[in-house]
Amino acid sequence: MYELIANSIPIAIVASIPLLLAVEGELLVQRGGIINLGIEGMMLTAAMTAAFAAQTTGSVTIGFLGGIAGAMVITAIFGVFAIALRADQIVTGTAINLLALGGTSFVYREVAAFQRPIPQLHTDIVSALSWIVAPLILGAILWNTSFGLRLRACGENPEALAATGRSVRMHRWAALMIEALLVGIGGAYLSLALSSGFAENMTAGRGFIALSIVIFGRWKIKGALLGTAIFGLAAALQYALQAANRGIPFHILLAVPYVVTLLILCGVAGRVRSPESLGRP
Amino acid sequence: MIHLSHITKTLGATRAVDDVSLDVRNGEIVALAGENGAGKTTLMRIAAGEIDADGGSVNREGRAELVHQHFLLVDALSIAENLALTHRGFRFTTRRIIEREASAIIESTGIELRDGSRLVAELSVGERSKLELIKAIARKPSTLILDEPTSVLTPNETTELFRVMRRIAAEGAAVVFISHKLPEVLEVADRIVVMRGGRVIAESAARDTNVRDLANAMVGRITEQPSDRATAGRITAIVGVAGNGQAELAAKLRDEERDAGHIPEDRTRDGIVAEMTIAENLALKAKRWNAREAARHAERMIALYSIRASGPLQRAGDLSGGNQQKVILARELDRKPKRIVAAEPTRGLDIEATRFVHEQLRSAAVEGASILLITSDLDEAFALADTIQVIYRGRLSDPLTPSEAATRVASLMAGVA
Repeated sequence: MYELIANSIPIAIVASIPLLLAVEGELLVQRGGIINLGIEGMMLTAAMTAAFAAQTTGSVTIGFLGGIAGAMVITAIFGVFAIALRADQIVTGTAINLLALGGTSFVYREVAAFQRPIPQLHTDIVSALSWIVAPLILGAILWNTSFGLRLRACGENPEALAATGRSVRMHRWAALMIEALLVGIGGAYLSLALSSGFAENMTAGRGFIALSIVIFGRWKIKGALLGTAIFGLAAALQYALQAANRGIPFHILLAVPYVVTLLILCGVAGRVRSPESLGRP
Repeated sequence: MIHLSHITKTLGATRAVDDVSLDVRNGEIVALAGENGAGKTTLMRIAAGEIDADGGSVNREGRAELVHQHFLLVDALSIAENLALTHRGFRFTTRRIIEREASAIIESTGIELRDGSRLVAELSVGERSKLELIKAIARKPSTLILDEPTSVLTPNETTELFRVMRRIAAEGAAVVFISHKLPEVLEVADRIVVMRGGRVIAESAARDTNVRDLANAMVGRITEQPSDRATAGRITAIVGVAGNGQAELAAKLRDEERDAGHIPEDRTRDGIVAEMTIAENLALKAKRWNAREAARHAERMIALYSIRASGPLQRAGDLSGGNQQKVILARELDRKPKRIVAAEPTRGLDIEATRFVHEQLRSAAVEGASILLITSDLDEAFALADTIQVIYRGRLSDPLTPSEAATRVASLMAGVA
């Protein structure tokens, strides 16, 4: 069993990178008062545009840039509705997910470039970025910059920030674009590093899991890291157990990561207090 | 300094500000007095540049800061972080830096507020209003406008606020103090401007006026002398700071005097059944229920009390606050009870509806009912009552005549007399 766990750790670290980046991005925008439910669609789009860019140019770097660009375009659509037009964020996010799912599947079937080979990823800086660099930078932004302070005010009482003459919308747009950057990298990593190319609905609910980890991690970066780590490890273990075939029905095994994450994060710390103005347009 | 000339502003269907000109000079404290809805806040929002006037011109020297009646603070952030929100531009910082800066800011304003690391959520109302004041003063306005700042303060906190206002004025700023509490207005202001219905009605130096003249100007008619009244019944007003036992008194009377007409304080909770129709609400105290009769009765009441409704079968919950109150009046007063207990009968109502309620209570008194009016609105008490009693910590003061009350009510309410 110990061997099983030990073997699962490196797999978990790598396999949960897209999820982690999504959690980090979503944490930032939710601190600013926005629920971006469209994160699943953002990541799926990024996975596709990254694969397309990499397969047509043969460059991994351009692939990642393509992923970021794809995420940013989709995020901009979300932002126009949710921030500029003050539409309902839940509805907008859901629409983005449906749009991305249908759109990517359609493009994938129609475009021949997806049949070309995927260029090889040689040096993996993304795992260090997502597990170490991004959390440090996000923590510094939120707690040690004037921007972070104002962003948190946007999430709690936007009227108070507006009364000081600052634009709530600009702060939320900025947070949303940082999220797009992170999710874009995550989506690209999914199609370029974890798989060999794009596949329909390949994000498989990671965006929604990210949303719940943000909540169960109590909008804290430590909580986000811990939650992702637990989920990633439980998921990797689950695969290993399935492969080992110990006679446990695989349906139960599939549920294990969710249950374990839920239980541990519920027990971790105090009461849940969401940003006061979360989701209020 | 601000210079307003011929300002007009229409909000919805009402002329909120109607051709008002006003100068506030540096070093001067000007009080803007008037009833709710007189246009004081709208005028000052225009003066501070928060909203634009429809007509007229605004001249400001330097910046004007308006401290709102409701707090614009972030509960989840600390005192220091709230103060740091006003900082412009991007910079790296730490909690320590922010807290050090905050204590310097707080000290420079001369207002006492300890421990900047405390969350706003943990502060008392008085401390929150201090923080709002610090935020405004820290931006070094040349005009400082305070909108009803004392409504949530204890007497001691009010004294401290007045001290700060005088100092700010002495340092050369113009200070505007919006209030409807006349004793306070007289205490702190150099000059008093009274507004009513969007217009300036009276203006005078504080030393040349008194509570009675101001009250008359605010209410808009000479407050009737007790002898002028056809006093078959009497109106006794119970006044006091909210939470001194008014609710308990009303509840006790409701239990003891079942035949009296009761106008409850919380009209949506205790006064009407929102889900039921006007006709049903009006029939709640009737001896028997007959749908057709109730509808006919409701139609008469709608006409008599000029209730703005589509008909007897409209849901009471869909009416405006003023019209809900009229439904309650129609039910409670139409039976001509000998005794009426009215708790905060005009809270949240506009001027028209307030006037209507006052007229109904007056005519009930003329027709012989004795009325107990429990109110936190002193103007209402002075406008209606022939006897005023102050409630403080559950105890009633001796009955006072309005002229006695004018001088003693503030100290009785504060419990210092």
